[in-house]
Amino acid sequence: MPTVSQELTRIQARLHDSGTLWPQAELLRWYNEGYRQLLSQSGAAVRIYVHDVPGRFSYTGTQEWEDQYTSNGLFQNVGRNAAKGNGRSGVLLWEVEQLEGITPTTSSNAMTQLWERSLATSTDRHFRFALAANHDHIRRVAWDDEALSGTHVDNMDLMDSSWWREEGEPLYWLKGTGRDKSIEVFTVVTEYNEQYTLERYEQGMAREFEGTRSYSVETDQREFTWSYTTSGDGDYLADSDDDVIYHAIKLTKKPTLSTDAHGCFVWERSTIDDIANATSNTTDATAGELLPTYWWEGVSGGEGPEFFQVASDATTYVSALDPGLGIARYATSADRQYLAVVNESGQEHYGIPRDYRSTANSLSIWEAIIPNRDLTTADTPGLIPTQMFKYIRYYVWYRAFGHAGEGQRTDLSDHYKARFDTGVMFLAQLKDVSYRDHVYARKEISGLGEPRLPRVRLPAEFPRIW
Amino acid sequence: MTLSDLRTRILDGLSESSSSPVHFSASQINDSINEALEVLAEQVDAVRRTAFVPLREGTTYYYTRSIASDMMVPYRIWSYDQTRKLTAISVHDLDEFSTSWDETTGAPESWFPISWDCFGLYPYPASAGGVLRVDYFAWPRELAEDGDELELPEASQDAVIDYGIYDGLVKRYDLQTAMRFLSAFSSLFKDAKARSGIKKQGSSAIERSMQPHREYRSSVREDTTIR
Repeated sequence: MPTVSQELTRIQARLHDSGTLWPQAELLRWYNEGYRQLLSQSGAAVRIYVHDVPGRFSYTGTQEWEDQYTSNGLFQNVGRNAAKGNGRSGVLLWEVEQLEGITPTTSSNAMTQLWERSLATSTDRHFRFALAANHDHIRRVAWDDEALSGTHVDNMDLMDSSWWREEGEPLYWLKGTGRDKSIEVFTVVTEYNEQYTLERYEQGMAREFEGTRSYSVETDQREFTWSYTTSGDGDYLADSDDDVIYHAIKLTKKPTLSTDAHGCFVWERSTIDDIANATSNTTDATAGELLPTYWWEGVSGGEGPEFFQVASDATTYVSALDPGLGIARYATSADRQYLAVVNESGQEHYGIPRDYRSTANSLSIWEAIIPNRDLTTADTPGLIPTQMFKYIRYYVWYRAFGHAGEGQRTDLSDHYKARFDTGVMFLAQLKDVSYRDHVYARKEISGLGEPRLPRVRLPAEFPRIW
Repeated sequence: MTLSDLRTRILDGLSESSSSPVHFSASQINDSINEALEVLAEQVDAVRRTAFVPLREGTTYYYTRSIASDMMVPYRIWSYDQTRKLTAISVHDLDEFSTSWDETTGAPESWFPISWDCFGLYPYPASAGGVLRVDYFAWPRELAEDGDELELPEASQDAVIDYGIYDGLVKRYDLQTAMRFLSAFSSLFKDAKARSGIKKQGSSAIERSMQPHREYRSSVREDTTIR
């Protein structure tokens, strides 16, 4: 799979330029632009994001300026700015009334994150969910695996009620009145439902799941098949051309000084160190210990007379780890599918999964996504097939040949623009071979066609007529 | 025709020496040839492959890249256990058909595209077992060695030469002449489609009938609830 650097080399070859007329930094900007445009215009890369209910925002604050100090997440302002507050804002409605010089009234609960709803009796916060950072547009919203209809805040306001506080099973989704990259759901579910989360992922590869459901681990190979004594042996196993995947354990102890000898026991290592230091008997020989070479020797109740007492090394063995050897690759259940959820980068479904979430009792949002960070020259545009890279090249040539100044060729620019557009259309077709799927655009949803009847509204002259 | 043959023909068309070209390197011509194959595959759906994927318990969504790395788009999915073809349908139609389709378990009857690299099954199997045969349009294998041969029919291989000449002329900024070769390349799409047997393929041929109240075999009926 070619890198961006290799692609830029091809682009420069077509431009007959090595950075004089079109600097590589400029080509890289256009390359990123083309990558985003290809995905945004085609809407072909769709991912399913499952949200905790009630939702979470990355940051909350009480002043808009606080958003300037956040990154990689959506900010929610929970403050209520008062017109006469001289920059001050409150969180509770009575605080605003106080700032405005109005007699305060009893307010409902204030909260900074929506999941706190599960602990509160009532709040007048809107029921909003932050979308993924790489969100482009929504294709489908579902609650508990049932699709929600789109509607508009104007329709909801016709109810003449605090509709954003009504509790029940969600029926509609709407852009609402909040920020872009977030949506609102009507009606409100207050029961807290968190998904499976891998524990301690901040420290690297996660080993355990956190969640209310029970789980078990299946793995093709839980134990090591080889033991080895020196790093040379380990390198040989790692470089082996055999198709068998080896899991090996090093049973020797590396000397502290010498780098070319290993001992099985501590006293051996001490001796090696002494030799390396040209000294002798500087340390007392440590007593030897039982040393297993195969995993079954460490299993209590296994075969063999006396090699079982290795409890102190029990965590060495793969079987002592949960979820076992390596990283969890998928989670399955007969009742529901668990999807690996990417929360921040949104670039790939590769790497170490952080969360596994199911759509049961959850809000699932199908989002057409775009890359949310610029590619560097060492990256690869991973959200599209490798064979589609040529359309990004066309985009760069379209921009380069269309750029005012020396080297401008508008005919070539137009030609490559047309070819780029062809790629957009083709990629759009790939996402839906039945050509029937609807794309929910970023524009407001009209809500037309819904059979919900509006509430009765009496005419303004009602008493006079009656 | 081998990669070497194609390269020679393209360089001849560009009035370049095939043994020591001045304005083009061999790898640049190779890139043009592979690009032509990609465009042909996109426009003509000429490359077809088959892959098999086991059904997993509780799994609705399958990523095509995990089934076959060269998959462009599936055009036929066959259930061996049920001895039937799964019908292609859109998510929109499924949503209109039933509000609870995503919770329905059973032997898969339909498949629906989600993303260019992901499709789903309806209903989803509650238990593992069974194999799906996925027939798909594929991206072409990249030609790398001089002796590599094209998978296309011989007559369609001329189109690749036209594209190579077009690409070379564009590199010389001779767009007017280049467009003639691109037109010649494009005009072969129709014939190539006929040869690949894809001409009859259309969206209506693979969609589920939208007759009202039509049931799936899983006995899920059209949704009539008023929300």
